[in-house]
Amino acid sequence: MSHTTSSTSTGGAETASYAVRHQRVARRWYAVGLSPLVVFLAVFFVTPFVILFLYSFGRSSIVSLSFGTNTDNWSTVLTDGFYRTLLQRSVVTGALVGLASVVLAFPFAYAITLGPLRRRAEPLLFAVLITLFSAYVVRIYAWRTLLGRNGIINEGLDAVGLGPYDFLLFNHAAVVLTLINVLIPMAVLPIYSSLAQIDPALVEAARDAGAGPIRTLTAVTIPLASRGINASFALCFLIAAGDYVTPQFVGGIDGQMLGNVIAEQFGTAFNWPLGSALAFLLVAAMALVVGAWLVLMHLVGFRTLP
Amino acid sequence: MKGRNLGAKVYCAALLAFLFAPTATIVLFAFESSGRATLPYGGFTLDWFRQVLDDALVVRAFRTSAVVGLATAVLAVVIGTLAAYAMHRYRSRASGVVVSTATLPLAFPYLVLGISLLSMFRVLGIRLSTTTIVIGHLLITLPVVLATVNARFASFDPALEEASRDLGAPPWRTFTSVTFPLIRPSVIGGGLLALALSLEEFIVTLFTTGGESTVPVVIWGQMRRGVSPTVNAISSLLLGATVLLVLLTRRLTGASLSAGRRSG
Repeated sequence: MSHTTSSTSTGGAETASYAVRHQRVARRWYAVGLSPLVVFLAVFFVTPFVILFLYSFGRSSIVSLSFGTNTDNWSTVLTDGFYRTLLQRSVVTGALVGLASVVLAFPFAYAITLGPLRRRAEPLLFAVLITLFSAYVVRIYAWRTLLGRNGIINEGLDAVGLGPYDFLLFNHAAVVLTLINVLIPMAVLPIYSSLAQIDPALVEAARDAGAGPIRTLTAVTIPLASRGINASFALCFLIAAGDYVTPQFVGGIDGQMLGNVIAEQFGTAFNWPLGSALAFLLVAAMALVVGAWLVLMHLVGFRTLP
Repeated sequence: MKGRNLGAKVYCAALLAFLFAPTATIVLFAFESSGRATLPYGGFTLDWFRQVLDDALVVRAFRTSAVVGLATAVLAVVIGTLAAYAMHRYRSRASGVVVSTATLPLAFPYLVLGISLLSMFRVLGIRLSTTTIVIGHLLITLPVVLATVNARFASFDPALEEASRDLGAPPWRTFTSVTFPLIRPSVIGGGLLALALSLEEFIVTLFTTGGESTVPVVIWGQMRRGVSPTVNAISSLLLGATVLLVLLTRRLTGASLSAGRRSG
């Protein structure tokens, strides 16, 4: 408080000591208020992570797991071509889905913020929110029904004398399609928030200065919305690359990703040490991709590195 | 200008149709009599819902989901609001670290969160139960509640609290009659969002569930056995519950729903 520094009045010293005490009390209450959250995160987020990491140096037999200094899991994970293929597929799928979700979400977010539908922003955004909160399992199940041999799409094709096509389901394309559908709502929100913060006068100024619509978009709107675009890409990429339920249900054999093998190690295969080494490999690869994306965007001239 | 307008409308309509098509199909066929999700659409029936509500396993799953969801929402709101209030009252560099750490779980694949919790529960010899499910759900709902309430505090006029203090109100009184009423919409909104997220959460649940299954886990179990009309009915009930919650959030908190997401 400002009055603590000026001790001209007779009560100055008293006020100062009061302020110091007040500050100490405030700090104590701060610690009390934050402690449930901090304790929760320490116990249920940080500790499990450390334990998972320790498991990657452990051993497993059919019935038991043990910690140790075994580096076999890591050498397997880093050298085996099978895991490299699956990791590649996870990363490529994630990048593809992230990119497609951002590209598809952007025009929608633009239309309801700076574009012609800005007066209907509220109901349109709300519609997207509803799909965002619709259970993920249900949406995957829905795609399985839609794309299946007896699904609506094949029945429709049948009605006009085509199909049925088995290739609609159980492949990599089905995984990508399903994930894009699931993640577009996730991509809309961050882009929407960053576009909503742009002053429309800036966009108009660019137009008045003679910039065409495309130039305005690339030189003004996209750079100003880059924070949201990057958040959208990162979120969609992370979720898609780490997913294993979508590949499990619509992916078939050539749609399997690294997540499927990790889940398997913690399920029927019961090889937690190998599974945890794979999990850290996946997390490291994801961090690399998101980092690379941010650097790339920075180089292209879209500011954002925080 | 007219053409641009039409183009935007068509694009937005097409995107929403793409987003709603899968779930709409599920709901549509939950009321269809033939029991196969194929065309042509047969007659209307409520049989699948009747069958589902007679299934003790499904009813129990709904009860478990409700218990887990409510426990998650209440705990997330208490822990999150307390932390947000502490950070509002006292400025410290530690706050940034805490908020980043609390948000970090959202940057990890849920699969990794699930297996890391499972690893710890095993090491500590903790038996999987509804409590362990709630712990997993808290991990992913706390950041949402924290962001929602923090956003409210950020747009909060501190003069109101100062006025209350200057008028001689003790801290507790200032909180109950000034601060809390001001942040209440965000607190309720955050809690409802946590409830909605908990109801639909699946991957972390799969690794932390003991004997009791939540609704998404039951759907997953039935999915593995193939496509059946009862899955459509259970799914429709779950979708109905979440849509209702999102509607309720909007109704109760008005614009703060999008405001909370905006800063989040």
